[in-house]
Amino acid sequence: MGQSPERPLRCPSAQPEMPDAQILGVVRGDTEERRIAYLNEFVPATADILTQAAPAIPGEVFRLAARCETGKCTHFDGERCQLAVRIVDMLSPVTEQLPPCTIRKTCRWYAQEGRAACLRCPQVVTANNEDDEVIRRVAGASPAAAQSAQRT
Amino acid sequence: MADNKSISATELGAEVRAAVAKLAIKGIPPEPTIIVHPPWIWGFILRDFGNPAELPALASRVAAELPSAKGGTPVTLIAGPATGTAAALPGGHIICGYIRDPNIFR
Repeated sequence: MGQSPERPLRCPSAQPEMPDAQILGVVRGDTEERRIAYLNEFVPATADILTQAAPAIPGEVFRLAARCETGKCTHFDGERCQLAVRIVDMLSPVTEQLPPCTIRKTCRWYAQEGRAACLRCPQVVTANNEDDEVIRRVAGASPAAAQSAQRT
Repeated sequence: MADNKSISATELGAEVRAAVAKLAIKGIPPEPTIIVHPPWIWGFILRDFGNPAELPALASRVAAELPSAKGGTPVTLIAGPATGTAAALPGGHIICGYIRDPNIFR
């Protein structure tokens, strides 16, 4: 599905320090219904832009896209991004039309899951502090993993 | 339903300020309790490992020697029913490395 061998796939929920990071969108809305407002052009995720999120962390304010790290990422099982699998399996669509996303042609989630991923994508917030069991399960954070990730 | 309206680069600053303001109203926690998307553990995926007892030492070396680790907490996560331990990761493999400091960009 649209995967070009010349262009590496991109992760649509990337961390700022990942290679070639760009701003994919900004989190809008309230806690109950946060949605991504997608940028309609390429904007690199520079330090100047990312620091505008302070005192929040970039992942709470921005959605970033960057090169998919495949085997370096906890969600990649060697063939597929299991985060994308869980998003499609466990979350409901939040739009009826494809969002105006600039990376679709090279998006890992779209290449793997197709339109179903796009219809759920606007609700994904990369750094999510909500105490929501479904979100934790989608993120692949079992109670044990969540405990491991907590800072003391 | 999402409204599917995109924003331009010139609108980005205002959107970010609005997002930060909403987080401030909600109350930004002093430290995130969890970073739920990838990759919150940096290190190596070990698909074919030898002696699990050696993994903590390997994780410590990763955390100590990798420049980006900056003294992060060494960690190994073992997944899958075969290991009988925490099913934190898919695929029955091990990630051995360090936990990224979630406040690194604060």
